[in-house]
Amino acid sequence: MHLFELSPNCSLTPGTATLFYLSILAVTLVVAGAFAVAGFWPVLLFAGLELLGLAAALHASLRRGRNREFIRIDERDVVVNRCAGRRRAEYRFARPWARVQLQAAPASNWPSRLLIGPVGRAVEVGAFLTESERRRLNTRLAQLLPPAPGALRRIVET
Amino acid sequence: MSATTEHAHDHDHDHGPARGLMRWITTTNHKDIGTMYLVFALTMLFVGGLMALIVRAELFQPGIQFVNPAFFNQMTTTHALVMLFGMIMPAFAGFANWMIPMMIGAPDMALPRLNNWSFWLLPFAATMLLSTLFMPGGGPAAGWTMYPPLSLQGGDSFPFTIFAVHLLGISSIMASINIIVTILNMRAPGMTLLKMPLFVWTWLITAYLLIGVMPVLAGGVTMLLTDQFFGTSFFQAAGGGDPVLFQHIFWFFGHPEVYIIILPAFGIVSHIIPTFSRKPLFGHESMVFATASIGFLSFIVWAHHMFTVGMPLAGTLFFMMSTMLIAVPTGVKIFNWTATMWRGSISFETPMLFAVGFLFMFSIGGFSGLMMALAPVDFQYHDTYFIVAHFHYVMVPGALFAALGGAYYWLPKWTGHMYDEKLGKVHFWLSTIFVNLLFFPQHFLGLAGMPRRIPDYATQFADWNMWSSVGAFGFGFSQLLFVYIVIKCVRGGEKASAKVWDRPFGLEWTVPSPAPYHTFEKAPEIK
Repeated sequence: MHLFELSPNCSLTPGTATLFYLSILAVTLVVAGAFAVAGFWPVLLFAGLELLGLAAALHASLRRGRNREFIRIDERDVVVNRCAGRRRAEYRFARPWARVQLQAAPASNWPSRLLIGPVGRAVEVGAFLTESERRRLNTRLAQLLPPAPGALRRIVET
Repeated sequence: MSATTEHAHDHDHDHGPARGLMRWITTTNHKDIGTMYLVFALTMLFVGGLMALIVRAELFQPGIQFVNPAFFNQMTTTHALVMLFGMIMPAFAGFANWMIPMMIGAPDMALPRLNNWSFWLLPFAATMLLSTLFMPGGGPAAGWTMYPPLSLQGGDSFPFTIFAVHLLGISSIMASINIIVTILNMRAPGMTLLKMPLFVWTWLITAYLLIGVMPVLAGGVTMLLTDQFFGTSFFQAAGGGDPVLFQHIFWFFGHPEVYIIILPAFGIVSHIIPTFSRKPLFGHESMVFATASIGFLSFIVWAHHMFTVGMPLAGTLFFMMSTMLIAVPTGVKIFNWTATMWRGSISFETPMLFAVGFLFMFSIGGFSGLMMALAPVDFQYHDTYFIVAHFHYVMVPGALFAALGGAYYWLPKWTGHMYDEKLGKVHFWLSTIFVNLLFFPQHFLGLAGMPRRIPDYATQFADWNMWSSVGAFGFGFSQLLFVYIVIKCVRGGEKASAKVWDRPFGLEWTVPSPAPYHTFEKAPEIK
């Protein structure tokens, strides 16, 4: 059995994010609050909007950092488990039908897509990986699973 | 799967940029966006510079020479807004975009689409601001501080100026949020906060300051707008408001803004000096703490801009003392840079010349700032050309020289070619001579009592004004040489190695020159 655990590089911990956000929240609210008390309430409005924006960005980064994907390949099945925030998904394919395919990017500076599963029902894995990490994963998976027909033809041609 | 897809897959290994205009409009690549910021800033340098030359041409001799006083006021105001919000801040945002991901070992910024948007707001905001010059009544003319009630007496340009300032502010906020999240979340494994390079640290603190003070500016200018169009009286004495309170609001933003501009410059200089001294930066951690101290102190000194407005003695003393305190962490920085050079194996390539020039001339601006921190003497200097000399020494041979030094320092990494060293040195010496000729006589003019923001003056000020104007034109035209050097470097030249310099420090020197379109796709391990 082969098990792959995929996770993005994330140097932000919830503790650091909370500490940083509380510090900036305190400073900004003290400033904006003081102006609001003096009668200049629009400052508080803009400060609130800005802090919401920062909170959303930090939250999105933390959430992205918690993303995990597990690919289990045994003799019978290929199972992909995806954990993104509270969402959990499991995809199970019969190993003989499962294929791996690195699909080119639609535009040259967009990321490629790594698909795994039977042709027509494949799911994407490693979307949060960098290009080189995705390519290395593709190489490793291709050693365990047959490549998709197009990819096979390329190997034959080269 | 079709063979075409596979063919595209082969291209995917290069994974280079798209072609044509759409590349630049839709790009989310930090290097593309960094380049656009830098090109935009350079363009705005010449737009704002042209306005400065109009001002200096008018002041070449006493009397009204070329423009009427109303247009003169529009030029001084728009020059300041363009240079601050359109030139120097975007320039450092460009450096941040290019260098922060490469310095922390990240493949890109954390929020690439936001990054694209924060850049593309700038050209529209700048166009809107500049378009006001063609409106009935002309552009904004009340000074970049926009003090009411004068600013409320502007023509049609008033709401457009406010909206442009809002857009520029939104762009800064989005860039700050992106930079904060990138630095906190995208560092390579092993890169702890205290191991981060100084440029990254200074930008983290700058972004923090921006988050803290931008709502104050946004709120302030919005209240100006509502006073003018929606019947409120925040700053209208007739309705119970107080115009002096706008000054408090403005300077609560305006003073940290100075540090927002100068801290990234400190960061750049902290990279250049160790490289050309061939020694690690002296006191890395003390530099970080000094930067944070400057950031903190910048929040509590705003009213030193308002000594002459009148405030209680205790307030005057507090703002005087707190302002003088800033000299302590700034002094730590100056001493650390000097100590880095001490017994170093120094060579004076163009970036080092600009860094050393920065060190000398920023100190001049710092010292004249200390003079004005003293409330009793500030009464003499206030609203004279002395203050014009002071803040231009901070902004031009300070921030701009650091940016130019940084551009020379990283240009080989960006383009893959060495720039023309001889021309670079000529550019430095021309700039240094002319910038001092431009701004140093303004100290004398201010001390002799020449007020700022006037198109005409007494004949006793004529000589120094003439020299200052000669310096302005010399400095302005010297910058065309910089454009030539950059274009020449982009088009070709000696190939740059990955390290470029003898002994550079930092992750950006571990990637080839020019830096590939995608760097650090495999996160480096920091020991």
